[in-house]
Amino acid sequence: MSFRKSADILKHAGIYVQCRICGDELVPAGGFIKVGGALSFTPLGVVRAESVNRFFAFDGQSVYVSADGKSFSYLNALAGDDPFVVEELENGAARAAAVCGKNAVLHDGSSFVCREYGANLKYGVMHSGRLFGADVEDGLALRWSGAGGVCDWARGVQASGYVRLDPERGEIIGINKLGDKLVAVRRFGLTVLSAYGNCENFRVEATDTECDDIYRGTAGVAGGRLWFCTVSGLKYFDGERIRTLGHPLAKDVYSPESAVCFSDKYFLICKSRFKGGKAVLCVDGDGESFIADAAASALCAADGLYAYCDDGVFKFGTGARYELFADGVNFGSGGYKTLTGIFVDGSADIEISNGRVTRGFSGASGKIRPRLRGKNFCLRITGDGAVRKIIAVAEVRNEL
Amino acid sequence: MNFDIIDITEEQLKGLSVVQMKMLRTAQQKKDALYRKAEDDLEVFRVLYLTAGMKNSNLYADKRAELYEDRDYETAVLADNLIYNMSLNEPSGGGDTGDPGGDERAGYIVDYSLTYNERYVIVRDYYLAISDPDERMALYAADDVAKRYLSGYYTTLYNVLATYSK
Repeated sequence: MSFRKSADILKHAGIYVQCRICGDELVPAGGFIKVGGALSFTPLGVVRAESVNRFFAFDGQSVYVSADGKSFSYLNALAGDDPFVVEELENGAARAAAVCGKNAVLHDGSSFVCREYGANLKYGVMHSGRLFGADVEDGLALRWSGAGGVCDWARGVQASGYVRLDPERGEIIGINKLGDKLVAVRRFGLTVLSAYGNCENFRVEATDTECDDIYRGTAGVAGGRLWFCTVSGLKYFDGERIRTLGHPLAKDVYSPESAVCFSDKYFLICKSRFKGGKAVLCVDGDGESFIADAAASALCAADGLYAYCDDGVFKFGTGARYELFADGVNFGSGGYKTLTGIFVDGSADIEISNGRVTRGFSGASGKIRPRLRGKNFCLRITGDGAVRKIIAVAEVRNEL
Repeated sequence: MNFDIIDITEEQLKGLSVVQMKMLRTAQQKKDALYRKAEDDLEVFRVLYLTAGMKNSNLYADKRAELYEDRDYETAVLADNLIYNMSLNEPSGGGDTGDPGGDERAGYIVDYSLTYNERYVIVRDYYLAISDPDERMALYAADDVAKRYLSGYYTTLYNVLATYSK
């Protein structure tokens, strides 16, 4: 004896590439669209300085500048790891400082000067008119400049200074602003610093912020949360404590490299088992996640989200094709069954496999009849428009 | 009291006049108060910065340097003024050495921290230095500062000065 059984394929979805489920519908989530050709160098980091209307890119040896984020020109030598860009006002005029170690390229939008700025920092951020950064030579020391900005390193209780953080949580691997606080991202946790006004009032806040090994370069702030990746997965700090965020792609992604936050979403360059290489994971505050198909070496948040790949410059937007992969569709039974039909409310390209045989239906809409026999089925759905429902129907043999 | 606001030997100390000694004592007290205040402020800051979790920062050392610098500057001003006033054998008034209520119009030292005996001696010597007895009595009779300064001793000194004019 056998009976008919149906399965909602969208509920079996395991991998979302540039798509997501919204109100039981499969909708495109956007993806990276090519906007420019390949750069002459491999950028390790790209940062937008809004005040001088320029993009700065670093390749470990030099700094490059661009007005549109697509084509860069060589600016100056700036060798070293962990470069950063900060913006400040100097004599009433905005300027950006591209800093790497002891050297800074100070750029006002039309001219620049390269010189030592008085400190040796990495992971710098501007906060209350001061430059905060981790000391290159002492990974536990958090330093701050005087209120004069990037180049103000006169020593004093009212001027520049430092605090050496407790060694338990390891070296500083990033500094982020979270609301009115500064958060030093450490190897094994976070340290929150309240640093407003006079240095005498600076305070290291005692918070429950220990966690497992954090990946360097993965911290970013979106939606009032500090997001970062640890060896046990994606976590966020909400200002009070660290919480773990489970998401559907947690088991697919690995080797996180760097992250950028844009439009309240967290974008992480990592590797995807499904894509078989580099991709960009996008997660929002509700734990909805999808993979954007871009083997990026750097991301940059500006008027949009830019991805810098070997084959060109891409910008996140709508119109990209999506791909949804659902496996382990067995209709609740371990035995053989025959997949007789699939009802598609919308239009998409569908591939169905039983592990040996794959059948493809281009532009599937309405009812298709795969007539495929097997124990477990995998479906790959690709398209560029919303699909309201995909219901598979199978003849399942009664095992009793 | 240990006098270290200026370098002074035991012999020099013994040679100081009553007024000079008073100036030295007052200045030394001010210096000691400045040192105590700096230490108190530093201790308050130490507790605050420790509770703020900034133990391994530059803040304590820099705060100490700032407080000590201010303290040393004010002490140096005190010492300079003290040396100057001691050389004149009179306070400059207005509180350079901490003497409140100096009245330069009086022509003699007006220091309410002195005892009445000391005030009496100072005012008496001032008026006895005036050679014309009539002028001396006229000036003394019109001296409202002396009335307040000497209080009950004013009349005593009046009678003493009057004996010279007879």
